[in-house]
Amino acid sequence: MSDVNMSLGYLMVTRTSENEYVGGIMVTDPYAIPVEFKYSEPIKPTGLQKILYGNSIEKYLLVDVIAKKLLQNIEEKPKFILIEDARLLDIQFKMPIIHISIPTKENEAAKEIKVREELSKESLESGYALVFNGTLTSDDIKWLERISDEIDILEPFHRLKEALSYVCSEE
Amino acid sequence: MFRRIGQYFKDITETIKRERGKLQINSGPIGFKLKTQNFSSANDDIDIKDLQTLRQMFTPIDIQDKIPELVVKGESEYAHSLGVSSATIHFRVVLKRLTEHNLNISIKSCSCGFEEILGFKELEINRFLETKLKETDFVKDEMNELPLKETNEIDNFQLSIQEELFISHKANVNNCQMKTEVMVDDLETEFDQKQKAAFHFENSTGFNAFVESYSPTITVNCNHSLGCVMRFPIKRYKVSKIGYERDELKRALSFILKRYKNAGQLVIVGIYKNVPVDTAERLTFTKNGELFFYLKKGNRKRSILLDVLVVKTKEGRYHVGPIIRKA
Repeated sequence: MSDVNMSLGYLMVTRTSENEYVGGIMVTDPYAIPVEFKYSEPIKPTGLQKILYGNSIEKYLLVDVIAKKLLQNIEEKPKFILIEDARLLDIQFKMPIIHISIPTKENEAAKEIKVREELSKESLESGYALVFNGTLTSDDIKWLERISDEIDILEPFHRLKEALSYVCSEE
Repeated sequence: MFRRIGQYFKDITETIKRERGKLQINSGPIGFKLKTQNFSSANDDIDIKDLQTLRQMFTPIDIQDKIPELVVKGESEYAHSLGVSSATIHFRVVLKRLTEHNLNISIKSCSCGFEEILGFKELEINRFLETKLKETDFVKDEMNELPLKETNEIDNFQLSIQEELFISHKANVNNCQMKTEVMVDDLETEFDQKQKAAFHFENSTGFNAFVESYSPTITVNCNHSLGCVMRFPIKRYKVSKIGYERDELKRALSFILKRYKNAGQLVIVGIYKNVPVDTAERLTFTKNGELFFYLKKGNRKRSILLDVLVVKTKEGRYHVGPIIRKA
């Protein structure tokens, strides 16, 4: 059994149908039981902000505005931060930011990860591909393998996405 | 013929001169002497006499009676009687002085007072020159004999107005708002107003550029709500029974039979790991064998995570038994 004191952080920033950006982070125990959940208010950049930031506005919103704000506000410090969107790998944080995915899927995120050679890559025996920003020890890799064996490690993203949709609908 | 006529008159003239006749012909103009005076009544009305009075005033004189005898001195054989009398016609004009009344003319000069309240405080006027106009009565007996004064007399009259000099005179001025109303004729027409509205920079000489400070930094607020996440079920995989001993599974199945007293045919649904047996509720199973469950609301304590064996009866009811593993 994994260390119950260790936790995982699931970070996600999504774009709604109304072009609003909303982010959330859910900290769970190793068995995907939610411990903490924080979410940002939906942000819709103005026309002037789009002009000023240009093409970088989306990455600016995702990384510098929403993700950093969420990471700074969580009380339960997770051991790792798991992300689905590879653009969040630009986050500079004291904890490793891990992009976890199923390698069989060729998506845009995977193509971008190939370009970014400075990022470290790892794969789990369970089949998950890891691209992370930071340092992961062998123990960390083993711990992640154990977690992925016992739970669906990507499943909390689904809950997180649903929760963000619910929050936006309530706003 | 004319020459002869002219010669004839010339001869007559010479004859008259020769005879030194003293024929005097008064051919002077008739003189009229008319005296006029100003007539005025007390009410400035002029009485106009009727026609009878005027006839008496202008008495006609019979010329036949008063014609002096014509004396022709000297005769000539060629002389002709002239037959023309010259006489002086006199008209007697009697103009009566109708009325003479004394006319009193009273002219008063009054000084007009102006009061002006100023809005200044403690105004001290050190030198104040006041000119006071006194009342002056002018009485004139007869309008007709109103003499015209010489220029120097007029000056003297003006000098008769007294001049008083006040030195260090303090004027107490009340403290009040100065109200000034200026009536200006508005010559601006509606067309001018429309022009100004259309060309609002027409009369502007300076432009005030309003610079709004704009920070491009985007800020976001964070909220927390664990209940939002709790609204969605947690999923568990079905794991293989290979990792469990037979006794462990047998004890879990015995727990189900003993607790629910169900001796009917049971179908094993699956084995699930790390299920919070004390806080989980509303367990749901999919066709793929996945387990979804919710956590009880308000449960803050750490859950007891156990692996469970799930079976299903013929009636479609699910039963869960914990798998207690050996240390």
